[in-house]
Amino acid sequence: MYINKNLSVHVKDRLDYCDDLVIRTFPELKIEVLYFGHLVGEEELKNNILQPFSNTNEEEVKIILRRKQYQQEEDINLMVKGVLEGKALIIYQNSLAYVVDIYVPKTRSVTPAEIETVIVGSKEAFIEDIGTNLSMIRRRVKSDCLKVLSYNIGTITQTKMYLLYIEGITSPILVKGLQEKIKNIDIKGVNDLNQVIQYLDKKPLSVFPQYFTTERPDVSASKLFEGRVLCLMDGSPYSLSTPTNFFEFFQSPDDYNQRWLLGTLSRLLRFAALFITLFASAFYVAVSMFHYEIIPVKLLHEYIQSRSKVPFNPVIEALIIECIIELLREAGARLPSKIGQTIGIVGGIVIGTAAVEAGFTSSVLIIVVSISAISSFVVPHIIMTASLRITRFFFIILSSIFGFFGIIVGFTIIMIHLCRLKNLGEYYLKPISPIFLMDIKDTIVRAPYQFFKK
Amino acid sequence: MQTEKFKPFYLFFITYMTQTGIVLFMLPNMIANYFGYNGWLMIIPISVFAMIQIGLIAGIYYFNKGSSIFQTIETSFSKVNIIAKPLYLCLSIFWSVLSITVAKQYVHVMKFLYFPQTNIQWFVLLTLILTYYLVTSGIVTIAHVSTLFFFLSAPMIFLLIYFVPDFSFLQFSTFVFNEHNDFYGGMIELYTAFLGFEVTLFLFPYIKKEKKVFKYVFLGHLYTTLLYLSVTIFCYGFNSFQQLNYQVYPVINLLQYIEFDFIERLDSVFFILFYLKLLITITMYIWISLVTFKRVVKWSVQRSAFVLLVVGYLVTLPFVTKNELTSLLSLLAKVQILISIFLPLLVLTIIFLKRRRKHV
Repeated sequence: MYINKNLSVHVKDRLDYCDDLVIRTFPELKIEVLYFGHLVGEEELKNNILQPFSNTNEEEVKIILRRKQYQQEEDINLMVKGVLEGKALIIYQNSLAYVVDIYVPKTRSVTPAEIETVIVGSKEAFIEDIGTNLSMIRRRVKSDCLKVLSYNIGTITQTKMYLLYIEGITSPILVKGLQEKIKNIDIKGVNDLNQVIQYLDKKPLSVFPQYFTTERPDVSASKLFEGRVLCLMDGSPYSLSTPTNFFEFFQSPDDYNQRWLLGTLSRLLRFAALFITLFASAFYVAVSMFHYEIIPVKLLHEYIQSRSKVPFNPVIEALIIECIIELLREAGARLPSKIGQTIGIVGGIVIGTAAVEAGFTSSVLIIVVSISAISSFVVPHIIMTASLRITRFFFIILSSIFGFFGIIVGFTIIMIHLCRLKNLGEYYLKPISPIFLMDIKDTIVRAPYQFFKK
Repeated sequence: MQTEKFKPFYLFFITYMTQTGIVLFMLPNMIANYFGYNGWLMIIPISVFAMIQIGLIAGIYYFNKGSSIFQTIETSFSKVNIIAKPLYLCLSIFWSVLSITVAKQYVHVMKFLYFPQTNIQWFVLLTLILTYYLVTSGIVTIAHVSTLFFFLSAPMIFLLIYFVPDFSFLQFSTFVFNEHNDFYGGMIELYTAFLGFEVTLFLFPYIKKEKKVFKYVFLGHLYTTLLYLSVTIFCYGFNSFQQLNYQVYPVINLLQYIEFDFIERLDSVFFILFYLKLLITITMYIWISLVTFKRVVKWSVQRSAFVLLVVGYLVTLPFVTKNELTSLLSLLAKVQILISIFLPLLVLTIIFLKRRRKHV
């Protein structure tokens, strides 16, 4: 919409009932400046607005406005958009408009990663400001091949989103694929990247996360080198990378920063943890209900003794304890970290011991469930941990109906599902299914870097 | 169907996973019954015979240049469809019944050993659901899943190491084929253990064209032979011949012998883990049944698979006991032997007739 008369009234009309709008006038210069005080930096305001237009005359104003930072704007929609984005709008003689970028986001400073912690390696994590996040990536990838495409998402929120890739490494098909997916999202507004992911999911009903998110800039940069597309969103301290595979969720920067043997062993430990967390409780239920012949004779006596006081069926018993663990975890997540620790002690030790003494559960089950809960936290990515926890219940129920056969049936369903899952044309279980032997050196194990050269 | 293709090396996994089934658990007993002392030697000639059959299929692939055998059959004569379509339908239903029978036999053994109180139909239903899910995922996913299941179930072969201390060459004795009965019947029975390679006949359009495609089918078959040989040899070396003659499932007995400090009687875990392998066998037969069925009826994959599974289930519904299932499976397997021998020959004849016509 192009208007050149009475510009001030039109703009103010659009920003009606916005009491936080600051209007400064320089009557002698016929200048009006509009901006949102909380979006702009004081220094920038002083340098670009207050100083140049004080102590000057009408002749000089024209020269000042020819400076590079003052961009003339003719479309009223863009003027309003500019003000909303933290720019100052200068209306001259009520007919000409200029915008000047004086946006300074008011966010927290960069802090250490809280969820994806590492022992050795960089500590910093993304914050809510997209510019800072992008700077963290640019600082790590000083290459002109790093390309950044900008989008706005949400019809009302107009949230800024960047799509990053390295030209020459990332397949253009992937970039195009994700671009189209992002453009097809039709929503009024989003608050976080993790919401956007759910709009991008190809199979929304799947339990497993189909996009990899991380709060770590070093991990994000490494994803770029691996030929993936990266997404950043304003207001979200996370980055998204795709195509994703299942094994990414079991990798931690520690694997790369420590020596290869340690890296490999910790990865294998995590896969062992995956199996323990999925099957431990289900195995207990199956053994107690169907296959007690596998318990060694020496252990059988103790086992029967601990089970004899319990009035419930093993599956009910297991479900109760699993639910208690879930309650503790949820409570721990919601509470401040200092009280969270107390919850752990109260829940783990007090309730656990009391439950066994009261004859509520068997002590063997407490051990099994605790090991399975601990194992679930060995998985470095919290989204995958959540998926595994849900899947665990599925296995417990199946094993209570069909014993080991139920576990195998559940496992088969999950495997077929994972083999079918695709992410931007790439298989989710790659490099195991379809098999790419060369890629195994950095999925199941972490081979020495000298082996990576090929 | 999917137009996506898979690399030829998946044929190794598909061939091996389709070939081995529940028969592995009874093989040493079967061999001891039919061929007597040192009967394991018979595995080699039968395997060679199966290899010749695979050679025929490889020949078809070579002459056909990788195109579907259905196309070859349908374009052979002008009115071939009148015969072909009903034949397809019969074959399709036959394979569906065969695969459900295979499933039922496994499930029956499982129920008999580990779930004496559970109704067999529940297990069959679960298997049908899994098969439906897998078969409707397309052949590429089936190939991927079979690879995954191969790696999960293949390490079981290392369990044989456990028996090395108790293995004795004395058990083999110096006799060869003494106390055998029905030698020829035994050969047919043993040949059924190798069935499964013929599914590759239907995979031609789904294989990426590379050199030496059939090398992987041969390797898969050789791996099966190696597995059969090693398991049978270990059974012969571990048990006496008389014991082998009495044990219906000698391999399960072998598994029951395994004992660790922290766990006793692992046979149930291993036997049920074997289900992964069985599922691929069932799925592959249902898949060839589906492909054949779709040549006649233009339904969606989901609908066709559902119908075939239901038909297979209903046909096998009256067969419940071990004897009924064994005799049904033995009959079906014999028909399948005929198919595995004559179908490739038929296709080869058609190809040669076509070539001749071209030259004329």
